Amino acid sequence: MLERLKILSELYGVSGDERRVRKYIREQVEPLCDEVYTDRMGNLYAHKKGVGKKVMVCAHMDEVGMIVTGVLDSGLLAFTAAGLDSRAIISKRVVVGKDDVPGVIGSKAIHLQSMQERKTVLQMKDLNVDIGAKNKEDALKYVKPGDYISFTTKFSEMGDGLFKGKALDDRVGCAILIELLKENYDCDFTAVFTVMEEIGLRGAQTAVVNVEPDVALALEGTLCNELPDNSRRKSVTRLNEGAVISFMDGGTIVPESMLNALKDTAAKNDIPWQFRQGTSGANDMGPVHQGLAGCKAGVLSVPCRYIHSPVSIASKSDLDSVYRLAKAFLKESRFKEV
Amino acid sequence: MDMVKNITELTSVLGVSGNERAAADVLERLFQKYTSDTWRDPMGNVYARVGSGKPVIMLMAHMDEIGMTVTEIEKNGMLRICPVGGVDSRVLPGSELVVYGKQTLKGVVGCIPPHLLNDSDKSAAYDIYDLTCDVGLSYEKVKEIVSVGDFVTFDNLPPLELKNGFVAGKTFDDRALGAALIEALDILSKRKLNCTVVCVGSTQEELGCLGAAIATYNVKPDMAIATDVCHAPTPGADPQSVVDPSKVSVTTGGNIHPAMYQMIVDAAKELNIPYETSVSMARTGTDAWNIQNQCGGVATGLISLPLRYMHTNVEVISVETLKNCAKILAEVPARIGDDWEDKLCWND
Repeated sequence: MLERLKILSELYGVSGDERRVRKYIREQVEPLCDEVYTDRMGNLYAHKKGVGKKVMVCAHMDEVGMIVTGVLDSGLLAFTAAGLDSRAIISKRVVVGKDDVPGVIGSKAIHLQSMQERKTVLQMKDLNVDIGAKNKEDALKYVKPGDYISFTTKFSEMGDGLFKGKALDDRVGCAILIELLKENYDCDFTAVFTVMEEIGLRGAQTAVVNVEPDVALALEGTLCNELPDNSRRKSVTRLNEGAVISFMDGGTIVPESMLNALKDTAAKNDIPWQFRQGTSGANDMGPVHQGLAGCKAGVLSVPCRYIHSPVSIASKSDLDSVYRLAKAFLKESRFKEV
Repeated sequence: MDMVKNITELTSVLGVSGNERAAADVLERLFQKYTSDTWRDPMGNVYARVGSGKPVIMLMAHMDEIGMTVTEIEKNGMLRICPVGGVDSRVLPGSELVVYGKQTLKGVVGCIPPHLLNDSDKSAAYDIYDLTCDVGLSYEKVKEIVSVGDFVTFDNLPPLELKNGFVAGKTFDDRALGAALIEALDILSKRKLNCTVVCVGSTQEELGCLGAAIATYNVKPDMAIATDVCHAPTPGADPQSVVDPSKVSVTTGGNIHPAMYQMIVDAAKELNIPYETSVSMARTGTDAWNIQNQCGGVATGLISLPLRYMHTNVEVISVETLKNCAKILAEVPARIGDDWEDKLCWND
């Protein structure tokens, strides 16, 4: 699973431009399912036909990133972003557009800044991507407004049982979901790899209509803000403390029956788990549990430090815990209880 | 010669000011392709000599880089860091670092996810003293490998090739010019020399050009050319403070001997190399400042490579311009004549 996660993490797939991720996942899941299809939004569905409850498990393919809005006379690219703090993107390597044109996000050298400037936040409008173009005309040979911009962070293991890379939110979910498709379950099972989660949970809104699930589960990479100054409460989740179970977030209040089923499954299988002790941030389950006639929705997450920045850190044991918990929930038909 | 390959080798090693040995090892090894006459001094400077007799011309590029050092290990194993030289705190969040402890560790400078920030949080720039370097280890394990005072640098990725012969990477200030010294030696090794040329990789430039003074004392040159980077245009930069990246910057002003300026300009003209005069009334902020006033006075010149985003891990340079720097560095000594002493005289 880690090898596949490396591939997934290093694929470029900014919200609205998930095609590379979709192509890879389609190839991976086609041999595992009865049918694989997409909808007009771009979601990828992997269907294992069955009887009984309709169970849908989602992971989103998109990642935070940027898009070219214009080219300056100097040949530098102006851009805008979704889901990113402008303070975290300065001095990073990127690729632009379909041809992966390499570039960097530069900023004025410290020597040329006033003391006041050094303390001022650089906004997206103050920053540019530099591809080495001579001028605007030259730049337009390689890129154009509307081209997506992604970070190029390499995935690797680090520290004590950890790994780092970009887009762990939510390629960890994608990697687990592909793995889950290798098993058979006593239900009508659809894995949905959604698009545009980071720009307003858009893909999930159509996924729920196309699948009409009775029970739904999202697999996520979630907040883990363990900076030394933080109290345990502020960290939301902790690395290496197991699968994260949400009771409530910015989009969903998880029904008690779902919460109990997940907790019991973890306890019975001796899988480490923790609560998501914070309610900021939403995910695909928001629109899913409110879609159509409604369904029972739950969220399982892998804690990821520094999500929505060019590089995040997560733990192999947490990744495994989420996988095992999701698999046990499905294998043991715990969805029948919710 | 593959200049980018040499830059890659030179920039991949640690050389934060005061700890340049690894960079010196690489530079000396590359120097030795052209001469066996290389040596070090107690300050850490590395020297390579070609030719013989008078005049002695010293060409210098500094080996040290800006970086960081560990100031504290937090209870959760994360590291607190402080700058060594001019590090812009604002480029650090979301950056990958290398920690040089008993073994090298990957580190990530963490930042708080936007979900957990309010508007006032987002309106304050990050300061290096509030940031942490996460190496993914517990306090106990970190203590075994890392100690306070260990050096930290930006991730040492190989340079990234951009369009039009531009490359981006870390520590082009000033290892790119180290690669220029090597290229100059390559050119000089094919020419007949009427002088001695000593190429020097200097230490601790970023902390006040300390290595340059010692090196000058050791070499006792008649003339010297310091090499460094200068600013290329970027948004918001003062137009008077920048040089077009396709041109070699040649400095004039109090820190520069007028004859040295002229020799450099003549060499550039001879080689049809585009150059631009940079004016610096007093301190140039380069090794030239500490070369000029050693040993009773050294005729000093300065050429600079325009670079965007100085002191970050995405410094951008033109390889073509860097090659032109090397050609000029070689041409000045190669065309030195018997009249060199006259040229340096003040014929007021």
